[in-house]
Amino acid sequence: MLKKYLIILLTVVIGFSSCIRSSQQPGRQYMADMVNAIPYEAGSANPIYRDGKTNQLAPAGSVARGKYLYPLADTEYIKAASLITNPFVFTKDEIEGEAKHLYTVNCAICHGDKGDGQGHLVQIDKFPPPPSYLNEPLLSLSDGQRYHTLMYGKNMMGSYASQLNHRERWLVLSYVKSLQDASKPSATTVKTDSTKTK
Amino acid sequence: MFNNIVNVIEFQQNRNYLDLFQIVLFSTFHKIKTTEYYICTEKIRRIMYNCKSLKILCQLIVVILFLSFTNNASAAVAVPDVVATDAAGVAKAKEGMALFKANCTACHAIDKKVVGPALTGVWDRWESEDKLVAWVQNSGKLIASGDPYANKIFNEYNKSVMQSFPTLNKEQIQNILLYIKNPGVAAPVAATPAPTAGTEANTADSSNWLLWALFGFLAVLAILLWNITSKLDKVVREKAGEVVEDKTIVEKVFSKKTYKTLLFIGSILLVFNVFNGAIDLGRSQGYAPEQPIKFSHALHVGQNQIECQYCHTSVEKSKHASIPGLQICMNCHKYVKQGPKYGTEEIAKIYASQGWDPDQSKFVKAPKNFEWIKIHNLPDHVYFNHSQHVKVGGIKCQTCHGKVEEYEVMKQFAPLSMGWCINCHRQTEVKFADNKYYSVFQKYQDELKKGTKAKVTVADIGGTECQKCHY
Repeated sequence: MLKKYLIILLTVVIGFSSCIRSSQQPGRQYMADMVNAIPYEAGSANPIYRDGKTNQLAPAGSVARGKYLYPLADTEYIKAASLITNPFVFTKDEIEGEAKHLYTVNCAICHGDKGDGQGHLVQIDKFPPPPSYLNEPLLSLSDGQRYHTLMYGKNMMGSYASQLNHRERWLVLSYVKSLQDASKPSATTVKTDSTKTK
Repeated sequence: MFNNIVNVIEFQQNRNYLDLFQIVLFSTFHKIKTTEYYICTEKIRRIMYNCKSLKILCQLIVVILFLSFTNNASAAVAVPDVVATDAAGVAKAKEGMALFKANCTACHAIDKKVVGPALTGVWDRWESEDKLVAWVQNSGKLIASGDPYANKIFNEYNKSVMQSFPTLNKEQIQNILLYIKNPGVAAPVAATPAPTAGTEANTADSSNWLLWALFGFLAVLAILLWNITSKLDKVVREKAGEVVEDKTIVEKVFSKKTYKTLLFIGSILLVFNVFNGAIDLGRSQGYAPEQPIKFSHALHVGQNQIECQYCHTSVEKSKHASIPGLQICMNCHKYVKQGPKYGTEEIAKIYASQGWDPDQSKFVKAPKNFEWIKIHNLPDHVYFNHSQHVKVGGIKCQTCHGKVEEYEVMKQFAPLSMGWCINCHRQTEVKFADNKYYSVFQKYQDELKKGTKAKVTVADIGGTECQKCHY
């Protein structure tokens, strides 16, 4: 009789207890031989390197293939105007497809879809409005200084050097140019000329 | 204390109330017992004499402070207060707001230091309006002229030059000042959008609550009905001539029937859970650990509408979506120092890791490593590539990660099981026409043209081959 009740009790307790799983725990594993990677995975902590990261920068003095080295330091904003020019020639498709997408992802949240400084964060009063691209002084800002701003940030804007690569930065700047040209109805004919500096 | 007062009143009848107060203060402060009191009257007199001189000193300080403040105010820029009913003033403040937002906000905020100083109280800091106007129109010129305050502020901000605004005239600058002093009038109650995630959570809570209430109500009803039927049953059986024993409630609860029911439910649950638990081994669907920084996707993606790729930068370029470094947080959090839910606590963790000093608005220490808890762990023997799915396939992030824009805490939405992958590969249509890469699939192109094939799925182009993902 006692044995019978014990069985009942066990069934009930185990049956109900297995309903509970904490969302704080990843769950159980069974024969996880090929599940957990033996090498260190990207982005993981790493006890071998001195800085504790698996993702390492290229060793000092070496340049990754295709990597662009920006020659100016943070303070050389004025110099950028004459030294830095756009080496790319982008097609209209690239500007309206890829460049627009990059602009929407990275810039439009503050600068607005039209570049007027009225992005969503500005409209909900989370972030102060940046100056409009469609007015001076940004309207006639040189390409080089725009690029410098993307590299190091300016005023309230942070650096986008880690988020965009060399080509993407020029793509975004070309799209900004196209926004500025679109706002000036008289200047539509020189639309792509300004981006083709070389 | 009370004793002291009584004694003092008795003893010092001839003194006025202020003196009385001083004596009480003195006696409590020096812990003089009432018995000692009579002895040290002479001492009290001396102390009171000292107190009087102190009083005079205090009065002098107050007068000097008052004079210095009024003196300062008279020399500074006078900016009037504007009330909401003053139409002309409100119009001016509104113009000021427009100018402020167009020209100043890149570096200045009203009430906090960002790139430049907080602008509230700027009217007290400059000695004359002309100098302030000259500073705004061309700060470099004013610094060169040797103005002491201009040079002080220039040196305080690491000699960074404020942009010149030669186009702003004196009246416009006055309007900006008017707005800075009265920000509430120009933008009456900035209608902050109600936190959508919060309200949704509330409705979810209330619907849950309703569900429980309904459940409780039904349970009570069931018990009542069971009671009634058992009583009726008893009456019927008694009428038929049976002898029915009255069972106590304890006997009823611990009856064989109850045990049988419990055993039945328990064993069903046991089988169900063992089965499910076995399937769940090695998967972590629903895993939502508390992260070291309580980052809310509901706030950043849902309310603020920041694109996923803004932070997960490599999702279109690489196998990994990448967890952003905290330097990306700093793009906005140099300015945003306080969150709506946890205040400054969580954002302070970003600053601590990045070595940012929010008071000085600059980096003071080298950034430290920051480790998040990884949620999505695909087994090592499976290859998965984010860019192939997001960039080439055009799959929305939400397809696999769920409605991240509603997650307060990030969780694993999909089981990430092989069946789940294969199922999607069988159903998902490949964008064949838009992608030149697929022009080599001549047979499918022909069939699509002829109309014999309605769509090409991922499985059709090898999406269910073993070595596509396992190699």
